[in-house]
Amino acid sequence: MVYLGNVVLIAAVLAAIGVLAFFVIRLKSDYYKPDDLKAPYQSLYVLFGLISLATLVLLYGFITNDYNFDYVVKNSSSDMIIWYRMSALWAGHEGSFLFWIWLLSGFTAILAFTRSKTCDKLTSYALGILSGIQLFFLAFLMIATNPFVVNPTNFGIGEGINPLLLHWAMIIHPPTLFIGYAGMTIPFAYAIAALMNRDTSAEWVDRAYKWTLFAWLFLSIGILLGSVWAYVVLGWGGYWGWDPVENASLLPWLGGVALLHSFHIYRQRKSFKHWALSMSVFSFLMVIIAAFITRGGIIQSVHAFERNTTVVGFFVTVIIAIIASSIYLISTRWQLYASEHEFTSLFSRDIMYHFNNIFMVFGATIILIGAFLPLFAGGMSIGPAVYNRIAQPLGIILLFIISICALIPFGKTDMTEFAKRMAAPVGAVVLAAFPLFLYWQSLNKLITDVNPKASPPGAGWLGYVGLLVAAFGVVAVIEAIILKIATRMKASEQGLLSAIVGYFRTQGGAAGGFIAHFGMAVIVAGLVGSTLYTASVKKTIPDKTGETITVADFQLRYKGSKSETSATQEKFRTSFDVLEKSSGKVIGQIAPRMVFHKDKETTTSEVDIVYQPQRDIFVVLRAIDEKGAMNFEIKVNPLISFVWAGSIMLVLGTIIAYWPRRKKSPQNEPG
Amino acid sequence: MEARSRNRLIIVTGIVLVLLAVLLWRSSTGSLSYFKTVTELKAEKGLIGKTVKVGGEVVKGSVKRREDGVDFTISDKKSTIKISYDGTIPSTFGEGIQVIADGKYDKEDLVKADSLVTKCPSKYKSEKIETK
Repeated sequence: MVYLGNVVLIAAVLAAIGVLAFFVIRLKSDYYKPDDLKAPYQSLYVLFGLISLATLVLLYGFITNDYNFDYVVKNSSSDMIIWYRMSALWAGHEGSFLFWIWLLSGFTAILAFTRSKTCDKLTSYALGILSGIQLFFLAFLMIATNPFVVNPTNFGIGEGINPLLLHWAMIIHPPTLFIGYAGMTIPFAYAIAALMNRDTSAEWVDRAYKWTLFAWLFLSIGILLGSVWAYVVLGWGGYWGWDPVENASLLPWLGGVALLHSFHIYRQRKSFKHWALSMSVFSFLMVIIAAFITRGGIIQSVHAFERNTTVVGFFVTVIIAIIASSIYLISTRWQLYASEHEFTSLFSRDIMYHFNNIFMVFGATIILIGAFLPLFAGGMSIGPAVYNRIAQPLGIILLFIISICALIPFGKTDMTEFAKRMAAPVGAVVLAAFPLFLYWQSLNKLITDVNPKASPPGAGWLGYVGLLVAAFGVVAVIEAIILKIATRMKASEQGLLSAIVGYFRTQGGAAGGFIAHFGMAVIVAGLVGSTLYTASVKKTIPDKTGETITVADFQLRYKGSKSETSATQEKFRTSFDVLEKSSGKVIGQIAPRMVFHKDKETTTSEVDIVYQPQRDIFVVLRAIDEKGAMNFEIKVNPLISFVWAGSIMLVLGTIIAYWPRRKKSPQNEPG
Repeated sequence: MEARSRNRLIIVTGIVLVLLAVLLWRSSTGSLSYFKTVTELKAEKGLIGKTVKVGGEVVKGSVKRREDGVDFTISDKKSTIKISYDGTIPSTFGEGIQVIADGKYDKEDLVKADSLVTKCPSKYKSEKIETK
């Protein structure tokens, strides 16, 4: 089977050369005849078929435990259940690269299929570029990280994967991100296609917009899944550690935010054209760099990996090639893409979009500096504390920009109208100022309540400002939605309900955008609580039923422990009632566990969490000494549920914006 | 398009960029750490008292868990150094595991770490998973 894999891979490379040549020849002819392109379009299906076959061969290797595949030996083992074995397809870099190329060729084939009736010129160029990218990746796969290497010893039982990674969120997290990465290639291809054709219309944006939204949606879900996994499995109480690999996934996401907003203005206002072009390139570049960071073996991180010179050489070449050719194309056509609507006022929605983009690029730049600094500056590195100190004020300022943005129009802002619109959010902030102040005081007290020895938070007023801005944002976005629906009711004399339904149906893009931005405001509130005011304490108790641990306003009552032994692991399970200190009422049950994995000789802790709306109580069993005394860490994470709830709103909003809708209104406004 | 509004935009953008650079500068001064191997670290006495990041393998038999942390020794096969860490121990921590400790290079033979990451014996590097 492993030989078949190699044969298919070679066939795919040859096919990709053929497809690329086919496109180049047909596009080179003097007159563009759509019918000439039918055959190259169809050849893309063949390429997709071959890459699918290669992927299936590898998958078959996992399903049948075929240890002739070196890759199967290293990433799977016979005692894993079939779903985990299949997911091992994307467990190492060889397989994940193949999987990524498979997605890319699939998306290319779908794009070719949906445009095969018209075979328009832009799409033909974009498809040509996409086939070139596939060829490049395939060649790289074959030379540098071939998944079809024969196991030299022809013997093995499979090394399996790390027990921590056997979690549903971790199984679907990589493919979700890969869908996003592959999807982000399409706006890049269209941008280059438009530049090559000197096409300044919005057509390329129209074609690429939905793909970008789709890709960005999957990036968001992927990042969210990674955070959830880190929170419930890794046991350090947080969900984002500014680890280089986590940061890598954020790069294309930030690029995507800037790109989607640029696309929006490009379509609506025929401006931001330079932004749209450069952000298309930037986002794709971020995908490549993200792959470079996670798979290139350059940067030390939690996710350790090997250094591989071929891989590094390949990535550096690709990155330089993309930058150089894009700079050439954009600079030689700079005047052509001048905006039709320029900024006329410094206080308008355009300006807010402009600064949003600058923030996104700045954020990505910081992460890039953080990722590559250790290579160039004598081992100097940026730690999580620095990222936090930059991200916290920026996040709050960004939310303020988003909130104002919801209330002002493009072009010029009528100040009296603006003042009227500001009344509600400003009023809300004034009303909420005192209750939020008290809440903020309680957050400050929490840290020393939980652990009297801990130093109080150094956040100062930032947390309070963050909470106020979040309240402002929530109200501003809600007001913006209400205004839109009210206008609709007036214009078409509809009732409230039909106006809401109609609004979501015809202007799902804008409606989805509002929901996503509402989610952003909720996320910021959650981040304030769960990054600035997390409290923790460590306590040791003997293994005696009825022992209690009192922390702040709650109490843990020990109910006993249980050992479970299986062939591969020993699990030590403790259980507790969680009580309210004042009333003695039981508010939850938890069972933090410690697991010893016999085959790997490692111990992992399985945390347990009491989820409350305003905070999580997070309990880790850290150690057990010779006498049986158990050491626990108890953490209180305020407002963390807001992070999850806001993220879900962000994802839902994006889905609503993506949802296909009837093109009834001429101005089909996107989010 | 008016040249005046364009100029104004460029100026405002410039100011914002400067502010962002100041934010970056203020947040990072004194907080950057030096990423070193154990041998490199021990060769640079000048780093004592500074924030450093050091990576290596946890030496077998050196782990002593305390009430609020853990003490252990790491090695890069040439030299060793003691690490004293206060904080939550990652669930993957253990003997023979690759770790990166972040903290103050306190004395010649001691790093007081306030952050500890285990190099995730992740899928990405299956070769390093011990299966013997």
